Amino acid sequence: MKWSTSGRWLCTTGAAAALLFSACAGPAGTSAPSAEATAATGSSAAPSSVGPVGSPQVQGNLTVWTDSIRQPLFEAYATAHPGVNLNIQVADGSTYLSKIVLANNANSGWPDVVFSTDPSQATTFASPLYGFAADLTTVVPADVVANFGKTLTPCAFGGKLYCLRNDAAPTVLWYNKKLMDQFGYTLPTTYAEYEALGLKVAQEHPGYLVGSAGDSDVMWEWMWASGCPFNDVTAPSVVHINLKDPRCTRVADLLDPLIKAGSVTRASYYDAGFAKDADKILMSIEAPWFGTSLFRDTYKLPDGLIAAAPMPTWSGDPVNYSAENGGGIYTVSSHTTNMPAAVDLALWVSTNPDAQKLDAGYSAYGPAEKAKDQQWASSFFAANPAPVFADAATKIRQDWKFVAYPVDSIWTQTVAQAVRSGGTIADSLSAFETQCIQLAQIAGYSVTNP
Amino acid sequence: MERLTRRASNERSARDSGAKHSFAKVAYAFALPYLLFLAAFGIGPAVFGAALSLFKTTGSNRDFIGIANYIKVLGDFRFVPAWTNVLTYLLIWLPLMTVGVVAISLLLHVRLGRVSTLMRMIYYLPGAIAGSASVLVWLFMLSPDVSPFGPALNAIGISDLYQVIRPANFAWLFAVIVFTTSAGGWIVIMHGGLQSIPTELIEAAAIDGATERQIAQYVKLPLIRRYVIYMFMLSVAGGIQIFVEPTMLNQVGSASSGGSLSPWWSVNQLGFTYAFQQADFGGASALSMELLVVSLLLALVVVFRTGFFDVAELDR
Repeated sequence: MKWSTSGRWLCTTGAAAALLFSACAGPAGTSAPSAEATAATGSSAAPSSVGPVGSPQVQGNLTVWTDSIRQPLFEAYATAHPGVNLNIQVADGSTYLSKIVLANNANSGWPDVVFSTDPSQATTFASPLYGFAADLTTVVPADVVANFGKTLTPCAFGGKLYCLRNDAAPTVLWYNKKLMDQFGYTLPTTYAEYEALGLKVAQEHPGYLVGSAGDSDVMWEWMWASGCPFNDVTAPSVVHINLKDPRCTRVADLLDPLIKAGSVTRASYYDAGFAKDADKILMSIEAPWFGTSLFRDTYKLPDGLIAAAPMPTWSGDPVNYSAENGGGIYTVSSHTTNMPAAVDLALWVSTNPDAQKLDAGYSAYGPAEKAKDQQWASSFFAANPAPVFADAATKIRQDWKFVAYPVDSIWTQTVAQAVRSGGTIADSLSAFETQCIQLAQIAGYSVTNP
Repeated sequence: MERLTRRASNERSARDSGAKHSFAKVAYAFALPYLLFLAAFGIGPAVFGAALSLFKTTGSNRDFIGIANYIKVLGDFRFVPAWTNVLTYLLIWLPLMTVGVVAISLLLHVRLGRVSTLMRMIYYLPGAIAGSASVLVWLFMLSPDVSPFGPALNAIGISDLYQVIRPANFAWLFAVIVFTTSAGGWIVIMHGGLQSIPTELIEAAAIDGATERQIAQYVKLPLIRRYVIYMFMLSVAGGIQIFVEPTMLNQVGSASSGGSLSPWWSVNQLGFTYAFQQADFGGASALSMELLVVSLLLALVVVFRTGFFDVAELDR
C-alpha cells in the first residue's frame, strides 16, 4: 500500500524515536541510569514540641535516615520518648546525596536527622550546593561540645557546628603481640623507628606486613597524622593545596621504600582475598573499629593476639598526633519543621549512654564511652586497648579540615591505583594534587597553591 | 466491458481501502501503549532535559544561562578522559560485536536443527540477566580464589582480582562483559534475517558448486547487510551510553573506607556525578544532550539511509 507523504514521515519519525530510545535498553545490553527517587516522606507540619531540648516531653513527627547498625539507637529513642512519632528509614549511605538533591529540586522530602558513616559528608551537606545541614552552634550546650573533645573536626567549620559525632576513630598502632615477641622486635615510638623496623621485617621475615597502601587509608591515617596540607580550608570556600610540603613528602619517603621492599603491601586490607594473609600483619596504623570489624570479625584471628599501642611521633612534632579514619556523624536537616525534636534526637543518640551502649564502636562522646569501655576488655585483645584509644582521642591532629568534594575518590584513582600497578606514592602525588585542585574549583572553592 | 471492469476495480479498491483502513487501525492500537510509555518516559524526559540544560539549577531555582552549561562541561577536566574511555571501549567492542555476532549466526545457520536452536538459546541466556547481575557474575569468574576458572587464571599470571579490574583494563573488560550479554539477542535477530533468505538462492549456489563458506560470504552476508548495519548503529548508540558496568565495577573496586575507583569513567557516569555529587542538574542535562544528539544522528542514518525501515508494498 502506498502511504501518503505525511503518513510516511510520521511513521519514519516514530520509528526513529523508537530506535533511539530502544538503544537505551535494547539488545545492546546497557541501560541508561535511573536516579533513585525513593519517596522519603519528610516530617509533616507537626505541633511544636513542649519542654526544653533534652526533655522527654519532646513531641512531633520525625523522619530519620540511618543504616541498619545504628537502627537500634533510634528505636531506643522512640521507646524513651513516646511523644515522638519516629519514622526510621534504613538506606544505603551512598544514595544520600542523590536523594537530597532530588528533595531540593522538588522542595520536599527531606528527612529530619541523617546518620552517615562517612564524616566527610558533613561538609558536603553544609555546602551551598546542598544546603542541607542545619547550624547547631546555638542549640548544642557548651558542656556537650566540650565532652566531644577533639572529635568534632568534621563537624565544626566556618565557625559553626554542623553535626554531632556518633563514634570517633582515632588511629592507634595495632600490632600482633605474639609475632612481635616471637621476632624479638620492640614497638616503634617514632616514625624513623617505624621505617627501620619495616625494612628489617622485609629483610628478616619477608611476607610479614607493617602497613597497606592499596587504598585511601594512607590518606586518612598517614597524611592526616603528618599534617599534609591538601584539605587546608583557610577561609570559607578557600582551600590551600600543596602536596610538595615536607609533611606530605615525608610520608611518601617513608612508605615507598617499604612498599618496594614488600613489608607494606600494595593490596588493600579490604580486598576480597586478603583474609588469608591477615595473620601476617605484624603491625599497622588503624582506627579502633579495625580491631573489632577486621581483626576479630572479618579475619577471625585467634584470641590474645592483637593489642594497640600509641601512635609514633614525627621528628619535629610536639606530640604523637593521631588521625581519624571514619567515624559516623548525625546531621540535622535545615529544612526540618520540628527543630527542637530533631536536635533532641541527634543529641540523645550521640550522647546518651543507653544509646551508645547499643553501638559497638568507640563513642565520640567522652562520658558515653567511659560508661561502656568495659566492652574493650574482651578476651580477643591481648591487652585492653581502651586507654590507648582514649589517649589517641586527645591527640587528634586539629589542623586537618574537610572539604565538600570527594578527596578519597581522587586518592584511590591516582595514588592507590599507581601503587597497585607497581608505582610509587611520591610519583603520583602530583597527579593527586592536580585533580584535587581541579575538583576543588568545580566545587566552587578558590585554590591557593602552593 | 470497460465499465464493468472499472466498476469491479472500483469495488475492489473500495474494499481494499476499507481493509487497509481497518489494518491501519489495528496497527495503531497495538502501537499505542508503547507510544504512551515512549512519550511519558522517553520523549518527555528528553525534552525536559533539553530545556534544563539551558538553565542553572540551584535547589529549586532555575536561572536561564543559555549554553553556559555546555561550555562549562566542555572545560571539565574529566570530560575528555570520559569521551576517550567511551570511544576506546567502542573501538574494541564494536568490531568484536559485529564480527562475532555475524560469524556465530552464519555458523549456526549452516545446519539448522536442534543443536543450532539449542545453541541460539544458550547464547541468548546471558542477555536475560540484568546488566548489573552479569557484571557480578563476571567479577566472580575473574576472582582466582572463587572462580571455577581459577587454575586457568593463575596459569596466565593472575593471582588477584585487583590485577584485572584496573582502569587500564576497563575498556577490554566492559567490551567482553557487554558482548556476552548482548550478543545473544542479536544472534537471534540475525537468525531471523537469515531465515528470510529464500532457500532457492542457497540451493542454487550449492548446485553451482559453492562451499558453505562461499555461500555464507557471497549469498547470505550481502542479504543480511541491512541487519548488520542496524545492529552496528544500535550498538554505537547504546555503547556510548555505557553506565551500569563501570558503576558496578566502581562499587567492587572501592575500599570499604571510601574512595571510588571510577566514578566518572564514562560520559553517562560523569553526568550522574554532575547531577548527584555536584547538585548540578543543568550540567548533567548538557552531558546527556550530547549523548542524545549522537544517538539521534545515528538513528536518523539508520532510518533514512539503510532502507531498513522501508515499508514494502502490499499486494492484494
